[in-house]
Amino acid sequence: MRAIFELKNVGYQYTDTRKALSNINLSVPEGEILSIVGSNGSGKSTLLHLMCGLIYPMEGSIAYKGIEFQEKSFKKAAFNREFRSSIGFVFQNSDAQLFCPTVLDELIFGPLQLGYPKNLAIERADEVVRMLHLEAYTDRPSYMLSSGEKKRVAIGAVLTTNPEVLIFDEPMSGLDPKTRSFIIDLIFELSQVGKTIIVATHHLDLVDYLKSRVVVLSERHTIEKTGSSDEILSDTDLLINANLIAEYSHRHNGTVHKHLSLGFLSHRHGGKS
Amino acid sequence: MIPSFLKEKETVSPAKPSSRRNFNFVDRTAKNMAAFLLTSMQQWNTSRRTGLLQGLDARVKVIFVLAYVILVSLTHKVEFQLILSGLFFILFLASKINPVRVYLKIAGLAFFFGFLVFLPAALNLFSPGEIIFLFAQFEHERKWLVYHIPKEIGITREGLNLVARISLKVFNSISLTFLLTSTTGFEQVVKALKMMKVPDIFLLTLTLSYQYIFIFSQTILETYQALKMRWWERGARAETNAILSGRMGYLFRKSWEKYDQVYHSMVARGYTGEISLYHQDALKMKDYLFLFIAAVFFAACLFFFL
Repeated sequence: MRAIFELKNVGYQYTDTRKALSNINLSVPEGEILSIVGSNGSGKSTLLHLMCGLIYPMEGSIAYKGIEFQEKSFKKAAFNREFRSSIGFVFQNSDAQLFCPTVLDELIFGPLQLGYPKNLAIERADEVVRMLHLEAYTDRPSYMLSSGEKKRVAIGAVLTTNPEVLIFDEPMSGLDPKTRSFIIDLIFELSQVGKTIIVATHHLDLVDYLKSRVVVLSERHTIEKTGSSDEILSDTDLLINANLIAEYSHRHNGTVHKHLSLGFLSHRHGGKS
Repeated sequence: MIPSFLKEKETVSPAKPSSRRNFNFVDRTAKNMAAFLLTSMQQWNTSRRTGLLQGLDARVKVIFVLAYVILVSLTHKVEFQLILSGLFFILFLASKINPVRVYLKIAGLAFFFGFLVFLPAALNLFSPGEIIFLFAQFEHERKWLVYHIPKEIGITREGLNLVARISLKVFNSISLTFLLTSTTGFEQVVKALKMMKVPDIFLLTLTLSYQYIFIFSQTILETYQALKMRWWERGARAETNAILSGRMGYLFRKSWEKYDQVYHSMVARGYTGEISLYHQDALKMKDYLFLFIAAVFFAACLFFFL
């Protein structure tokens, strides 16, 4: 499988003292589901922004389908068109992503920008509306929707252009369990139809469900480990070190236990009683 | 569940743009927003370094800046303004602030808001005197109502001196502002202003405005990034305007909601119209020493240059 993204020794920092990423080496093959996990501030969003060509590496290089890109690459119309139409990015903050007057406008915005015929754009929007159960909201402005509905619209707005690669930044944050479950199923189904999926999250249950390859970013902003979801999720020490799980004190019947914070791992009793 | 078009590779080729679109505008806006956020973070970083001004109490720095802005505006001699520029340069160095970076910004602002704005004052129409650059010459001078057009129009030595003096004043005033903002956290400045009896309503407005400018810069930046991801070359000015007006409406609504929430959270925590701040440390010996030296220099300047 050819690599969609190839990152070599990538580094990025926002200010002299605020490092975001350091020495990132990563390859994303076509059709893969890749989960990028890490605690808050570990550099997940920065990594996604680099891959999407929204910011550019200060060290190292990033290649898209074998073509290295930097800021000036996007000045070339052909590359810009190919790149932007192939990569769909679902932002963490749906409010920032949705800017059209109504949900339907939002959904047809991408295809119309790409110069697709209006009837094709509307046809696609209709299909996406049905898939995401947005039938009741098409004529509403996005600010009148709940967080879960906004997230579904944000995903739909990206899907109508049928991108090859879908990148999700914290798709589960702020959602209720039903919407979370819906989005997990959707991401999984999209991967089954051949989309390359990259998800940044600190929700390990998503990683567990997707059974993806996992990259763990440490709090030192480097890649701590790469492996299968089973391999990563069974490495409790790694998850604790990366601040992805923590042990909580728990008191019952006059006894103090230490519990791990996540349900998918075996319930561990330990620590001081 | 998954629509059929998503199961296939994209077959529709994106159309080539029919004309050059306004994409540079989007890029520029995103860059400016990113630059604002970066500057805010850099200022926060520099204000936490261990330098001369960073080690002083915010109240001392606010008093120093206010007094020296008055001094800068009171004195009219170019040599004196140059001495003050030298003093501020030393203070930047002693506070471990990169002088190249900061002086590029100061020089740019002083050029636009000082030199360019006041350049017409160098003409003999406003500053009579010896003409050193002649622009136009007429056969005879003209008078019309209250207007008087002399025989020759050009830049005078006296006019240039005036522009240089005003530009230096602007340069020094901006330098002072940068000295304060680069070495003092915004929250410390607010606290110092509170101690100096600046009205609460003003401080509250200032604090909330600063906070929301920061938050909304982030929102605008994210919006433009989202736009960039889906909006590459095509589009028309009307479309751009529609999106921008929609965004402005969104920000207005969001800011109203945020202010409402903040106000309610303040009321819920006992706010009755007066901001209470926690106790601020007493001034230290180094604060008094700095104030003393600054006061002596201030008095000397008034004595020798006024």
